[in-house]
Amino acid sequence: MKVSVNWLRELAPGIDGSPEELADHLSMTAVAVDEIHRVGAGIESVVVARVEETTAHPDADRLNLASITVGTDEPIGVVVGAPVRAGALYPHAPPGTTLPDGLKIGARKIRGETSHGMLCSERELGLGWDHSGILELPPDLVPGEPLAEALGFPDHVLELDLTPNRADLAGHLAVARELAPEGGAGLVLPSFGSSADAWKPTWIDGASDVSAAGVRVIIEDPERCSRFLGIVIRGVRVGPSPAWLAARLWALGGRPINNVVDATNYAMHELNHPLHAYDLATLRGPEVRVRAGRGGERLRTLDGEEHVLSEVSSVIADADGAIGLAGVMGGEGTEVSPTTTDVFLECAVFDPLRTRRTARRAGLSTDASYRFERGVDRTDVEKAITRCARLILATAGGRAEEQAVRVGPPPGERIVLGLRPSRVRQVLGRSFEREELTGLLAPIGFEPANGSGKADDTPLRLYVPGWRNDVTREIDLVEEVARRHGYNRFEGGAFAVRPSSVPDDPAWDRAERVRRLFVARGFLEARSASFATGRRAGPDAVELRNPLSAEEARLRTDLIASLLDRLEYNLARGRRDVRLFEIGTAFAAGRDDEESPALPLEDLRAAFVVTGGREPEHWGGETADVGLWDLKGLAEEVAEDLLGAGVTPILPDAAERIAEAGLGPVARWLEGEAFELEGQGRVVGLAGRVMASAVDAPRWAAPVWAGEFRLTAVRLDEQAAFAPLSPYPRVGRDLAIIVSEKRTVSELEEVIREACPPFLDSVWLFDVYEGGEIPEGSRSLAWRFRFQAADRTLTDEEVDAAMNAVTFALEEKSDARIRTS
Amino acid sequence: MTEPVQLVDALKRIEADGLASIEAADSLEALEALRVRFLGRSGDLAGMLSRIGQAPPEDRRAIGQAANTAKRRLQEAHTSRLAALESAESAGVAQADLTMPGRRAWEGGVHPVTRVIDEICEIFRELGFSKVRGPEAETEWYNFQALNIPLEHPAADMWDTFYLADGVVLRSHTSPVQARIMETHEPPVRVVVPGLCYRRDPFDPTHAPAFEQIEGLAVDEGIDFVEFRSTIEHFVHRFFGRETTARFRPAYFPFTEPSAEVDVSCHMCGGSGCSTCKGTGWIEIMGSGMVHPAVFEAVGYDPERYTGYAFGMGSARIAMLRYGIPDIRLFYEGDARFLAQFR
Repeated sequence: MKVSVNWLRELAPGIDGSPEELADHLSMTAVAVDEIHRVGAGIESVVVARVEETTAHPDADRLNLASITVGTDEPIGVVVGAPVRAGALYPHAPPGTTLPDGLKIGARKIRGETSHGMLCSERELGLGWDHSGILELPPDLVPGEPLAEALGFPDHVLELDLTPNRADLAGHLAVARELAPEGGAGLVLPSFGSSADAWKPTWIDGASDVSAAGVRVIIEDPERCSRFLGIVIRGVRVGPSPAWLAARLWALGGRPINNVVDATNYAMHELNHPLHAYDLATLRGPEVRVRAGRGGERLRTLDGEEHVLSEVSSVIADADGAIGLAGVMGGEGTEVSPTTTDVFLECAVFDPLRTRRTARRAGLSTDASYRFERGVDRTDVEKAITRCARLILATAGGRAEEQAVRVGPPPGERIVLGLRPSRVRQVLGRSFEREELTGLLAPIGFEPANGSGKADDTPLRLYVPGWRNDVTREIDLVEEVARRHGYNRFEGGAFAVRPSSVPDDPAWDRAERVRRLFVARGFLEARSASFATGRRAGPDAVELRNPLSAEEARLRTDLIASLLDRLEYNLARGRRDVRLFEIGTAFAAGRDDEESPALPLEDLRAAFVVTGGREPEHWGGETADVGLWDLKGLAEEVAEDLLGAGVTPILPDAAERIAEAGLGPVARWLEGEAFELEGQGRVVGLAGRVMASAVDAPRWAAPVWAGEFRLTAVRLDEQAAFAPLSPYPRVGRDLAIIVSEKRTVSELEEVIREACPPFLDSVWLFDVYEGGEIPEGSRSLAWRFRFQAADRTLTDEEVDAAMNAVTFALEEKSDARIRTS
Repeated sequence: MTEPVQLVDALKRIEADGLASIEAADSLEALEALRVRFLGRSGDLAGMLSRIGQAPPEDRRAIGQAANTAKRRLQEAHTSRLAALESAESAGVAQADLTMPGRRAWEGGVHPVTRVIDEICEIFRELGFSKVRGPEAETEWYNFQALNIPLEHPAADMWDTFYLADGVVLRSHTSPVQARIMETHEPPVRVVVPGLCYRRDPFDPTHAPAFEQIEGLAVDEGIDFVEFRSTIEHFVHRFFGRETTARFRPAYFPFTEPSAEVDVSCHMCGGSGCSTCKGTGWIEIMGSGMVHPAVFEAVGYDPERYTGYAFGMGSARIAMLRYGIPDIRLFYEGDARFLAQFR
């Protein structure tokens, strides 16, 4: 929302300070000022010129020659590229001018004709964006006058970032009230001339249906419109606005249209009430009613768009049909035009919610709908419409009918709110005297009402001004106190350490444990938006109602989906070694929750993806790619260190079981190289090789491995427990056997452990051999044993006996035979 | 009386003999043989010491001293000769090019946003805040109404929200967790809530449709605006540095009142104005304020008894400030060249 500093100073002459200081003051006490623009700067040498006559350029079809004067009799010749009227005023940039956009003006020949300077468009002057023609100036300017000075420029415009509660600051008067040292007491409405200012209407009241001055006004649905005021002005001369009025609108980025329409816009910017002027001759009846739209009803609005209406929309209608979208935009058929002589002026209070729906349905957001959606002041509609009527009288002439229409209930009693000084202290942490409180609040309209007590905990009774419909309870007044006093003056406290009844969510500790493990293993942490492409989302993916794009239309059902996207991003940039992990949420449809059945299931997960070299390439030897046993080793570490789970190969018939675990699409895994991480009978994770068809990878890419597991399965109890260190020597033995391929290592190791005495310290497979002298269908496996007792030095006899027991068990139970040599 | 003297003399002879031999050793092998002969478990010195028990008790001290001296000198001589022989030996061997790179393992890294989240949460944990979380998919009630945000009101437009179904949204801020925590816990409540939020902003240099926020909430008897301000200032000083100042500006959030926007002085220009702070000297870091009584009413707290404050900040945005990252998309692309910078 834009406000003009010149206008603010006119409304509150006591406002002091540079535009920057005013902006800072507003930002620190009321509303943020995003930007400060200068308007009408850099055009100091542009003067008002009158076109005396125009002739066609002898040598160019689209150019004209204009003879202009700038206050003397001496004609100046300029070449113009757009039509101009003899007798009208235009901005003239004489040779030597540099315009705000950097254009340097000289005397130059255009196709053989000398142009002494140029006539400018709105855009060339920095007054707007229009560049379609030369800017015709208000007729009350005087040729030869410096334009900027005549328009009261330069001006500064503050761009306010209005919050929804302070829509009242969309009006200059309210902003001036915030800035004026004496507040509301320092405000003055500029005079429009004594005869115009003298005019006063007599209100003809009614609850819902009133006729006066030859117009009937009906509010059919009081929920849509609580007040509707109308004034008839006859015999106006529609024409250009005077320069001062045009300058106000230019400064705010608007464009003068005609003196009637400009008056409604001026009053809106001043008093924050949208107004609308109808060409009375076009109103059928003449009547105006506020009602619901009718299904199929059509309306062409001022912007030329045709709308098909429904009951949702609030409309203004005459006896024939809809003529405007209530509170949003007027209709094309009833607008004020140069031929209009009689005007019906409207100022109403339209319901915020109904206006919002009307505007939304029409796909419009206008200055009017913005204000009505946030609520306008019900108590000063009379003031706004009277002021607008006076401005029309002053600029367009005519005669206003004394009788004016006023429909709808009058505003009720002024609202009074209590403010306890004790409450102010409780919330703000600083004591304010009662006088201090009124001193802060009265200037912005919260004046003391009768019946205020004196005690600290008896409330100060304050009137809520009509324009502050955001203030509805005591805490709103507390905020007013705080901001008027200045937030940064509440100093002196110390930060406090206090207890909390809320325990930490263990998910964060779990995430931290996972993060430590993966970072230590050389993985980089990734973070993804939680969306999945259709290709990557599982069958039960949750769809967004209003996605931004097809790529982001579903929620991911697993994190590997995101990591594969990240992986492809890196592969596409020529990186072969990628090691990523992520901790985040996966979503699935269907929470069985009676209260909110549409809430999806959320599952915190951790996942990783890895491809490329096992370690960075080194000159000292060839680097192998990450393979099945690297993946399994990582899976084992995750399972044992984090999950207290085991790693089991996924058997061909386990697809259903995996699907039930709900860890994303089963089809992603390459059969025969995938594992499940299983704890307490539950599948809590998966790991393995990702099928090549599931990744968009270049030919040079290495196999892709991945894994994912539930964060809730991560154990919080530290595994570590101290075991005393034996001081006695350790004895080592190796054992090699030849055994059928059908015997798995895990079942053989079970046999070994069962056969061993308790002083077995550790045993591990260290060699596997097939072929050569080993018979077909068998393989040679070799284990290394470490024996150590806690309480004595083991004798050779004891260890030999243990190894014999192992050998015997393997021969008996597993049909193995010892491999000698 | 002769026995101790003999033993001491013998020790001195061994010492002298040993020192001379060690000094004369011309190879590592020869030196090792001497070490075994003089200092080994069955060496000369050990042999002498085994006889110490036969000496009269009053003499043992002198013998022990002589033995220790001999042992120490021999060890010193051995160590220094060993070093000399090693150096001489390696000098003859062809030297490797030691400028060649060493063998490395892959290095992992914690995401910059995670680092910032951890750092922020740690500062508040020191003040007694616990670290909690809440669901990312929410009901309209928790995302809006419980926070005093009426639907179909311009205030609700402050958050352009993704819908999953009627009444179900992806949370557009972490604030719903405020209501969830207060519904299930009695004051005193002090929590920080990191988490992902969603808004219908397409990816661009400063927006992401999903982004991290940290919510904070403190409710107790006797918490006021002054305490709120000093707590946030403490945070600003701890996180951004002592030289950074904070300022509080009026703002509007339906669930806090008074509401405040918190700015910090620009770390790039120190407040004189630059491109980072768009010439203002200040950078906005959080929305905050005193918890609105309507929020207390919605969760069944007595607003006359309890007061509190709440704040929310964009962790990704703060990570951009902290590391000078110009484009928020870098956080979510997963480019290893980017992530590897944070190790």
